[in-house]
Amino acid sequence: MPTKLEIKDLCKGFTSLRSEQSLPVFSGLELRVAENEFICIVGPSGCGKTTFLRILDGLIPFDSGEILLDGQRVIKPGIDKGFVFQDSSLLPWRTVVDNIILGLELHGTPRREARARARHYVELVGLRGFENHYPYELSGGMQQRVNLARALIIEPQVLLMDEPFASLDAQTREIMQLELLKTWGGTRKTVLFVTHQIEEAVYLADRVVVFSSRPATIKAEIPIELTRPRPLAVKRSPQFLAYIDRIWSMIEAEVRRSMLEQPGAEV
Amino acid sequence: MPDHASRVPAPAPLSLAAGSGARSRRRARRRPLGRAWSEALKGGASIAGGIVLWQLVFDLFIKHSIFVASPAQIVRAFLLLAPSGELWLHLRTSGVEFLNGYLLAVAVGIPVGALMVANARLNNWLTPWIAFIYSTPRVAVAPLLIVWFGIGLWSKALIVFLGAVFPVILNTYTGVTQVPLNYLEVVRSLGGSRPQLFIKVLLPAALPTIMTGLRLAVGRGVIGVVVAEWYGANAGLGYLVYFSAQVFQPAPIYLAIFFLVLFGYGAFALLGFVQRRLAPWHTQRLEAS
Repeated sequence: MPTKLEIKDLCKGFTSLRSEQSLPVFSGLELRVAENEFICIVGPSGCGKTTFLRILDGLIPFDSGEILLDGQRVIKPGIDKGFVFQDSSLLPWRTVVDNIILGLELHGTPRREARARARHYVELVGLRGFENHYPYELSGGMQQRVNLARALIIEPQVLLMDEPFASLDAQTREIMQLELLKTWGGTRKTVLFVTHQIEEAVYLADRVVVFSSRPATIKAEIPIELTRPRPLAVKRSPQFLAYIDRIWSMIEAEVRRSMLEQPGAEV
Repeated sequence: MPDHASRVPAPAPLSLAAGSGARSRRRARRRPLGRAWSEALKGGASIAGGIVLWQLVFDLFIKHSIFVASPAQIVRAFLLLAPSGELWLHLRTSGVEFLNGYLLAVAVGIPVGALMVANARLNNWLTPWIAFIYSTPRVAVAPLLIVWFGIGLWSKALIVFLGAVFPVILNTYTGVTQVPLNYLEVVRSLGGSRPQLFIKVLLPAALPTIMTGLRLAVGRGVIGVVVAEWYGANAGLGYLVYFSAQVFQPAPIYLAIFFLVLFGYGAFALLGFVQRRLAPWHTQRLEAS
């Protein structure tokens, strides 16, 4: 399959205010993502997963290296990349449909046309009948559906998802995972999905990328050979559990190391 | 089967939660209305009782005074001043002074407050000036302003402006700085420009706080009108207070105070209504919790 996204020799450091030294987050990270591939990134907390995603979106700059999306350098945020935020970050003064069309509106699509296009995405994420509700009237799961639709409607080349289900309760999360795969099955976007839940990563991904603790390097890339579509029951299969064991054993040492090195640190 | 099943299951538990949300919203809308009516009724009865008591105390113990007026005397003053058009002249004069100063304060205060967030250098330049001018008692500078600008409309409007502009500036500034960063990040991620960040995120997000500033500015503006008219005027509610005190006629003073309160309260309530209309997410979220 053709390469969609290519990260070459990515370096990024954060300057700590106290020591005025640059703490490396990535030094020479390399990753290749194929067209239509669903990648999940797992790693110990504080390893820079979220930072990585934000760099890919162009929200924060990096020091050196190269990020190529369809062969083009990524320099700034834009509608070629859709970002799904961890906390849904819906604008509270906008209704569901007006939150969904935000990206179109910012790029000059007339409101009426944008709303017409939104209908399909409202349907896709299962929010029909809630178009004119305000975010505060929605449950956490529904807010995340709006968050997802807002990223999908701009028809991005790549979807960047930053632990979107982390704040949901366990049952809602399972349903959302199932729904996400269904939605993805229809659109077949290239997806990078950051999570700290190994189980979630294995369930969703074509390939799980394991980050080491900081400075983050790619510790392993594990292709997940579970057939699609994947019912939730696949999570109880021996094959699934074997993947989890394997990834956990890889990550455990890293987690312990990061716990000792940076007590309480979250980036 | 899988196709059918896949369409049904997920929304079921979620829509249940949302249904209860919609129900509580309807309840929240209906209940305060009933409560508001009964509260207004009780408040009205309390005020009416106070007025009756006031009249009784006056009739039984005071009978005649050049310092205190009874409700009946105030009504008589009203019936005297209203038909001749004199009361209307005072109301209109003060009203125009207030509106000019207040609208100028809004027109200047919101952009200045917003620009102070956008531009750090402007903020550094303006902050000491704002602190100084805000701390200057208007009562002390009012005579100067009247000497400079004459006893007409604009000296008064300026004094109103000086009182009203600071709550607007400071509340706009605070409102804009307190906008959650993740809202900005959303627009940035979608490739929004800087002006779009301002118009689509910062101003709407700061709107409830700005509206609070506008409401606070009403009270300071009303005080400004009265103070300004004491130092030189030939009409207006403040002038009516001053003149009546000079000739030992308390009733018109009460009348003027009554209209000042009515005006201030009316403007405050109207802005509160506008605030709830413009920012329903803000108040309803609080009511829901």
